[in-house]
Amino acid sequence: MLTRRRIGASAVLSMALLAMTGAVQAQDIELTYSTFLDPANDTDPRVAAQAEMLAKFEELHPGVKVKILVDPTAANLARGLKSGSGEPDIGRVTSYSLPELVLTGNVAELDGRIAADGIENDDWLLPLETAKFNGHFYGMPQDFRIPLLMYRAGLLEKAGVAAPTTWDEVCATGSKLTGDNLIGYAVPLGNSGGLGGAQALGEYVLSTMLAPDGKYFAEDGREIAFSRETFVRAAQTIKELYKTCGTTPETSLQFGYSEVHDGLRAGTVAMATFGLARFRALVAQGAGDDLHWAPAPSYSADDKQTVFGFRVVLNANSAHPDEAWELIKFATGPEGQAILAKGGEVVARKSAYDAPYFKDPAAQRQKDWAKLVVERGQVVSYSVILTKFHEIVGEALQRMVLRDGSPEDAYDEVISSYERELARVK
Amino acid sequence: MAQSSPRRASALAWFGPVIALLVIVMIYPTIQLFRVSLSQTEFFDPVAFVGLENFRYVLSDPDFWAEARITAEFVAGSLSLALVFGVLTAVILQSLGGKAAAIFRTILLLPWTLSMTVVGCLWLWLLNPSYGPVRYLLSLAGYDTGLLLGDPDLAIWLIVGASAWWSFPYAMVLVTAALQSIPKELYEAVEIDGGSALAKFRFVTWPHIIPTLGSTALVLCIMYVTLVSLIVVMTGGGPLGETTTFSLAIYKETLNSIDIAPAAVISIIVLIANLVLGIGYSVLSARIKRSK
Repeated sequence: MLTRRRIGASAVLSMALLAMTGAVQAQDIELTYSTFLDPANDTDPRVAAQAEMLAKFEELHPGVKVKILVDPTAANLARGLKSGSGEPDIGRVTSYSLPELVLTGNVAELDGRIAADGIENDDWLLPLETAKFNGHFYGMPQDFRIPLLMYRAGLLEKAGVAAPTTWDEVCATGSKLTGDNLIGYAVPLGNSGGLGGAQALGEYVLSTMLAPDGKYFAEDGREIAFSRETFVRAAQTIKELYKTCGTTPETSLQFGYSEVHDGLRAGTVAMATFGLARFRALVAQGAGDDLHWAPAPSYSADDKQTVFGFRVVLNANSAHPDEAWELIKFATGPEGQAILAKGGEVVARKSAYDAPYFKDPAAQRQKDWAKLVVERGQVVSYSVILTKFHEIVGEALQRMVLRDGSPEDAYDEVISSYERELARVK
Repeated sequence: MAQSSPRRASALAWFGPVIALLVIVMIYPTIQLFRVSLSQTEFFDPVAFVGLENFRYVLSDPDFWAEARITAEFVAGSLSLALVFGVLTAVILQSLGGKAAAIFRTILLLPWTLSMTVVGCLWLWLLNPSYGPVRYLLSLAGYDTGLLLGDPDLAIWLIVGASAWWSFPYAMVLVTAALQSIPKELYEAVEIDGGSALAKFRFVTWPHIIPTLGSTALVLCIMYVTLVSLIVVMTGGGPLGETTTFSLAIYKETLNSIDIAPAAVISIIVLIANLVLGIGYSVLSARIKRSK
């Protein structure tokens, strides 16, 4: 028999069930986030910062859960985009590999969302406008990375030399350092340990050497924008480092990221231009306090340096684009960036540097690098076939060194091979 | 006589899943591969039919012929070394006999149990021109090793050495099995006739192991033709592309190119080569069975 108590209890139960169903439905939204930071790696402070940022986001958006897809080389993200899959929903990609992914047609354009949310152009270490590719936004800047000269201070002190600021000084300094089993200044021209030859060279050295005026590739990422003179000068410098300065032995020809990293760590490489993201790991892995940094060498001591960084992109086929955009906004917004900064990254948001964390002396290095990005950083356009370009230019420069070719021949080889590859892109 | 319907239905029920699996994992991808080879693609999607243009493009590309040469060098070099060392170790261990042979056989089998990536990393370290043991030991003997894997004329042969080191135990095991099946009376007969050790090998051992060697060679060939990871780890295809085999080229092109059709063309060429080798293997296996 229906009593008032039974009716009341049923109503309460029904409401509770409804609420639970609602909660379950809300939690049904799961975003897949492709990142190279593996949550299982408890030694990397960036992992802890990433976890804290994502936890804060989930706290602010109770109906959304974030599932991490560990993707060290962003290959899964690339495959997902190339095949038109809806997963992962968002991902971290380097600014230089973004044009290749945009070409899939599956990276969402963010212009409308940025305008609708009134995201400021100037609250970034470099204006947000510089993150455009071919006139549109396809990703939000998460951090900035400027090449640094990393060197083993003890070796330089022993040789009685100071850290070089120009290529001429690299030539003079490196020759005093190079000896048996010691490379004065490593120029990584190789592709061992991975694909896409000379990627490390392109990332840290060539993108600055070839674009002193910021012109690397055309805005649409197709035609080469650097001049013949610029390339020949860069190739000549590299050849001199290998052949006449006595700075870079030919063993460096096969070097890629790993070999430079190992060399700096072990002290068999005295100096190299390398990515700031590796500094902390090198110190922890054995280089210790002996590893110092300085602005990367250039033709003049105050030349601009090409800056790159990670962009957070939205999969155009995501089943939850609005929620994914909320996550992107949070990860690249002042609050999320202040959390991520604790991991040691040079976060992209200017206002994140007002966070209490940056009052800590331990954050001084990040502040110095951020200052370097603001003062000497420049952003360039990259090729839609950048991996191929690196492969081509690496091989041409290797040939120049190994077969004693001329910089002019290297340029002609690069141009003809690049044009041939570009012709295959519709 | 025509099969009855229940028998036909039963056969279909038994073979249906296998046929479906074959269609899904072999026939469909192969058809797709041919389709891609006749198209211009945007990543994995064919966007326009171009007929045999991709074949013309690939066959007129000097890189293709360089890759063909490098593939031939790699396969022939690895195969020769693996077979020679496989036969030598098998014969020596067989003549040694006893527990010692079993222990050595187990130790020699170790490289085969390692993953190719581990083998690549090991040899990369051994052959490091700055701090590698090979360079160190040879320098003690007053020999300048040069760039080793950085030397375009030497790199492929060093990779050949590494792949032979990894694969010779496979040949050793199969040849050992063949050796153990040879009747002792045959060796005794040669001895009675006053035959030397060489004569025993020439007239008894060799005829018995040659069919096994043939089938081993075919399997190894197929493995070498499709091998990628060892080269990726050791050289990435360099220096100057001098270690880029067909399979590595396919791998790199598929990962790095927007139009993957030329990679599909090379895949078809590798597929045909493997088919020929596979048919050869089947024929040889059948012949060995019949001879037994």
